[in-house]
Amino acid sequence: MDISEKLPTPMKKRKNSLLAPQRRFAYLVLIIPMAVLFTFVILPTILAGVYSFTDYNMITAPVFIGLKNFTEMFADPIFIHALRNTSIYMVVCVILQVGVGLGLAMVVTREWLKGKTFFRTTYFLPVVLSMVAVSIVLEWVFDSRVGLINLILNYVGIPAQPWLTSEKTALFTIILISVWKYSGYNVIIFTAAIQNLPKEYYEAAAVDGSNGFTEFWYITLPLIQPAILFTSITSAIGSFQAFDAVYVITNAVGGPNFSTMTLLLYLYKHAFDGMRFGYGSAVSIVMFVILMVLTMVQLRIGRANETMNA
Amino acid sequence: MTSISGEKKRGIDRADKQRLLKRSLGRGIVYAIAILTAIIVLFPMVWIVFTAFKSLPETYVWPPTWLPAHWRFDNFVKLFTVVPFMRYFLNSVLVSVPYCIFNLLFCSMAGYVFAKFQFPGKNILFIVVLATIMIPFQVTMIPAFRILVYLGWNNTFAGLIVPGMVGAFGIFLMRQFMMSIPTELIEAARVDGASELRIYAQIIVPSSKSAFAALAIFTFLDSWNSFLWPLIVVDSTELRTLPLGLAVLNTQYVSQWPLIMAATILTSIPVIIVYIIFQRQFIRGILLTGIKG
Repeated sequence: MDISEKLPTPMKKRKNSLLAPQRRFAYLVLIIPMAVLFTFVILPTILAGVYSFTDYNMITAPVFIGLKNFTEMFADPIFIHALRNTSIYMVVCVILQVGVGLGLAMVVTREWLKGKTFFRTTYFLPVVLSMVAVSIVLEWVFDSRVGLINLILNYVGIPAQPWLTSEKTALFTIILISVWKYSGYNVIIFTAAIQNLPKEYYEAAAVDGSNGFTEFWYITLPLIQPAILFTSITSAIGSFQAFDAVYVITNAVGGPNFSTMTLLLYLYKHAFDGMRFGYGSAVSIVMFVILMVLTMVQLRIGRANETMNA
Repeated sequence: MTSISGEKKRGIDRADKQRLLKRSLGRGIVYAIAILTAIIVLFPMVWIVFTAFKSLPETYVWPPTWLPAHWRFDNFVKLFTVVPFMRYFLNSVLVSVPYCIFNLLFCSMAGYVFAKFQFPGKNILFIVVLATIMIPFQVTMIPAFRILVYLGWNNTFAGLIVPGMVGAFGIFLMRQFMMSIPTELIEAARVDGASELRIYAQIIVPSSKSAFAALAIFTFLDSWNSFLWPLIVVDSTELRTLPLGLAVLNTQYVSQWPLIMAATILTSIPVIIVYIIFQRQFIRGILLTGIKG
């Protein structure tokens, strides 16, 4: 014991004794954060995988049932409906949120525009509000009898639309609500991206007789592709997990006739209303896999575009 | 000579005028888009303010009136007397404030340690932290609820605060930011005999103000607006946070728009104030982190 302690060179020993309090500090500091992450993220992730192969109601012990949850899920027409709705919702949301975000960013980055700060502040405002509050307000705005939208349509001479009460338009109306709420976030990202572009490119293009459209198409658009990739990934992830709006607006039903049933609402209903936590976990695993594949595909496309432009 | 130059000049004038016309048309369209979008964003907000001061029958008038006939406060009064709205509000504060403070404390300390300390196991721990960023909430929510029940924390404030009081993203953000603090500064303080905790409090925290501001805003909003987790954890009226209370109100008082809109206003005012005051930090924070607010 004594010999082994004497063995290290004096240098090393001194360094070690100097580092000891630092190490102690580091480990002490990390205890709580790592414990929380382990208890509420890492362990649950493992458990979700385990639960997904079981029948589990949280009262009696989970019973292993193999792949039955997954086969049942893909045989359930409502799940397929939810999968379809969520996919449509996500694709349209990504296109509209990124499109509106980019369009408005192009507007607020015009140098001659007066009141830039006001417009930017206004566009971002809905992002900070609670989705529950936004859903309630816009549910009322889209109300088919007393809603603001139908009132305006009435003034213009267009007949009142059913919006949230019709199977055909309900999902699209909820998409519009999410576009209203989240596009402002993309405005901020695109505004920063556009402002960081080198001015010389535009000056050179102006010498060559460019116009607003050609500048946008040949200079701005290719150069802000990283921002487009980023906003489409975040919009896709966010809209894939849509829950608050459909829960509040449809009273947790996903109606009319399941036309607004999303995957997360489906999961919630089976797990927490139906006490089928094994089945719910299986749905969550399927969602996880879809999200991972989706993000990887988007990153792959992003990288392919980058090399194409290089 | 004069006639030629005059002709030329007139030609230029015409081209100039055309360009000018085209430009002002373009600018007009841009202004129209900017203003129309601002109206689309602000109009519902203005309308709910008017509605919150109306009587119930007034909201069923067709076509609707813009301003209330009498500005009445009964909807707000009713919120605090009939509905336990004060309780919801207080609960939201009691959850969001500790949630935000714990996140700042734990994420900044862990981020500091990952940025500036050398210790065995550091890389593995950091990779574990990063891996948790990729796990979506819906995967963890069922087992996390099970663990909460096991701990006896369902339907408690602890159940609302503790699971989210450390975020992998917050740790990552803090670490990235603190990497840029010069190590010599820390070493000099050590040579002067400062304790590790003092170095953290007096050097690290003041140098990372913008990271703290960003994380504070995001975690506060995150908690204030959170809906799904409280929906799972809370099952008594006394513990409802504002979004839960608002959702319940919406089903209890169906179509009582003035009351519901008054509640919506009170729910939104704190975040609007936070946003307007900290706007600059907000936008910097988004760009620093690139996360959804």
